[in-house]
Amino acid sequence: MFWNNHFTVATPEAEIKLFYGPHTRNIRKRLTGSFEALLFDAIANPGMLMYLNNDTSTGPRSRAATRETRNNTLNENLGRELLELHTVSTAAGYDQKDVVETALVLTGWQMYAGAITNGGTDANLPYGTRFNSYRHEPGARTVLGKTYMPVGDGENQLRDLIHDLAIHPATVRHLSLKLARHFIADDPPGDSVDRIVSAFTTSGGNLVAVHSAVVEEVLARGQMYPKLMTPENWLLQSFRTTGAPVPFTLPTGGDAILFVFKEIGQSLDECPQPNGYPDRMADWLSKEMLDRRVRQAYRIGATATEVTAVTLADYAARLAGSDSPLVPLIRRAESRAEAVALLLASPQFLKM
Amino acid sequence: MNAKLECHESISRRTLIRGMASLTFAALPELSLAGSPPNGRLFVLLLRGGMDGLFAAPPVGDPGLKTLRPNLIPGGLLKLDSFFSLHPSLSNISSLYDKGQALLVHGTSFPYTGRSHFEGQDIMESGDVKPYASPTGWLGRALDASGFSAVAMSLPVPLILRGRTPVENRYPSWISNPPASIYDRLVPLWEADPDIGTSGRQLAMRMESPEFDRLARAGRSPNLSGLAIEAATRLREPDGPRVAVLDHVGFDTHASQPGQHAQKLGDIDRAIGDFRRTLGDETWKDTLILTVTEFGRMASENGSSGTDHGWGSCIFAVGGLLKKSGIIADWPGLATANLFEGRDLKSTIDARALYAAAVSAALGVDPGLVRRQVLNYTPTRAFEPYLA
Repeated sequence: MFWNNHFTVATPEAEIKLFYGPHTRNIRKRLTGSFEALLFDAIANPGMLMYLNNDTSTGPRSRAATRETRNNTLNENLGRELLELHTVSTAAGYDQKDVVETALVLTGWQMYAGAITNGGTDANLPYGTRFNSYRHEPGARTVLGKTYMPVGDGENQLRDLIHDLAIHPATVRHLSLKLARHFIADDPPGDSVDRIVSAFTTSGGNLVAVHSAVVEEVLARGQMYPKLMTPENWLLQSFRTTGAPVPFTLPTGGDAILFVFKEIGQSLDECPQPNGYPDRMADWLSKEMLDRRVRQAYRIGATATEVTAVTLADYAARLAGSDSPLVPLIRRAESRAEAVALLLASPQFLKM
Repeated sequence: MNAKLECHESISRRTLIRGMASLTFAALPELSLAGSPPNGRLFVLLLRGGMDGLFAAPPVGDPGLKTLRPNLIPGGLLKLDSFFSLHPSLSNISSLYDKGQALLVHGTSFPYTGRSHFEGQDIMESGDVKPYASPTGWLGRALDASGFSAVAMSLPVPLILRGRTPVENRYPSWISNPPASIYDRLVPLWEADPDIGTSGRQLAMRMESPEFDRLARAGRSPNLSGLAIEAATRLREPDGPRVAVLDHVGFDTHASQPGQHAQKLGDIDRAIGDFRRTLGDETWKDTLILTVTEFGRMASENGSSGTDHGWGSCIFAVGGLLKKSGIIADWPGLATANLFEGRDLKSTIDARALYAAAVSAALGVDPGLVRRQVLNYTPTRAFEPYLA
């Protein structure tokens, strides 16, 4: 979920929405390998290439630029976000020239619609992605002071650049802070961030090592920093805790779960901007946002047939302490739906 | 070559610079607005993605426009003067202009040229010149300075409204409320929590307006006009909020701009019309609507009938609070040599100048206080003929 948000591909545009699922699965496949492999697949997949307009981005000296009359110019969008959001961030002090050079490295990376009829794509690439040298800018590129020479038609340049970006100290710091902010606190303790940085660096970006370091920090420090769950985490935790069935399809045929996410204020497939959803408590707290969770909690309560007020009260006692006023409230609830709503909308559960 | 402006409402570069200098440096006594707070209302439309000023209000008098954008000049433009026109989707703004209630500021933006949505939106909301440097927003600080309250017509409260003053938000829900008894039991628990307490207390006092959910829904999407109508309903209340913010996304048209950008402009123009009708004439005369966007778009179109990120854009200020209509521009020109880095319309008027003047005029905040606490920018005299 964290990485899905980090590599946001989500817009109300219907043709891009189609890629939300495949993009998510691409990311999941890579969560136990290196960050470099994750980064490559999260960038060079049809969803991201379409979402950030790389699909038609064309090198000004490429063959396409001289022969085509439309869709023949450079689009900087993905190049800029690859640096700013996905890797080094503005802290690295890159300039407009680095952005353009990165965008030129990315030229030629496209969605390949023919994958469906021609039996897939290159096995080393995410499904539906291809490198099209016709649009690729020829020649050497320089990003953040390092030069990337083309081998053959230049397909190697993106892999080479991503190899360096993935372990760049600014990337490691940016991601470690972001992980610590998501899992520990809005302003996480500096030494927690440092230990995640250290695990990232010594493992060369092995995600199992990085995630383990995050978990250790959460176990060691998490209790000291109660943090309101994002709507997404809260909803998933609510389904898990109560055993309520996750609504996958509506009777009318829509995607019920996406609708529910939208209702609680964190629409998974329609994030407003490529920088993903924010991660501070203040971003998710207001009368309206709280009300959304109460409404949803009551609905979940109506379908959580496996729980009783007694099991919920026991759970609340473990969560909030047996002397918490939450426990008798749940025990005395008038209905199962009410008991569930009281638990899920209680501060103790919201900030678990 | 700078295009010469013929419109009499425009101000020259020299006047503007002189005005800024005299107010910026100097131990001039701070101007103060005497008397009781006005009845002003501010309705701020956040247009995310980078609204294209050259598309919304094309400078047809600039010969560069046709060269740079052969496919992005719509037919049926609404003429403002011999130089500037409005996109045909902006018919309400056009008729307000004819009534003396619309101001176009063109060639304007925040002093930010980095072309990143996120940095740009952070700046347009925080009002700071550096991205991610401020945890509060300029409207939020304006609330703190004026003592008024606000309502956001969006699901998360946007940064622009954050300050010390708690802000309400409304957004249509498709799920009905549980019984009131649930809220009654939860409120004491929420109140005991340092982070959730405030929202919990506000929720306890929630005001039901069943009309809202109906009006603000269009199928499964929010209806911009419905949100504007709710904003007007709230702003009409004598002791209600004085500031409302509406959040609209989708101006980032790297491709297929003629249809998509036009649709977005039509959305906001209709919302303005519906807002005005709902507000009623009495409150309208005290009201100012402002558009805010993070940057304009590249002066030339790209290969996909779209435009990439740029700098200068335009701002619309409309409402009964204006003393007269006008166009304020120190037109930088569209010849390559006059473009910022050879590609973007320059911003020759700091957007903060208008927003600072608007905060003073609508919320009665002393300009000195606006400079110190709200926008770090003293209203220039450029806007005095329109806002006071």
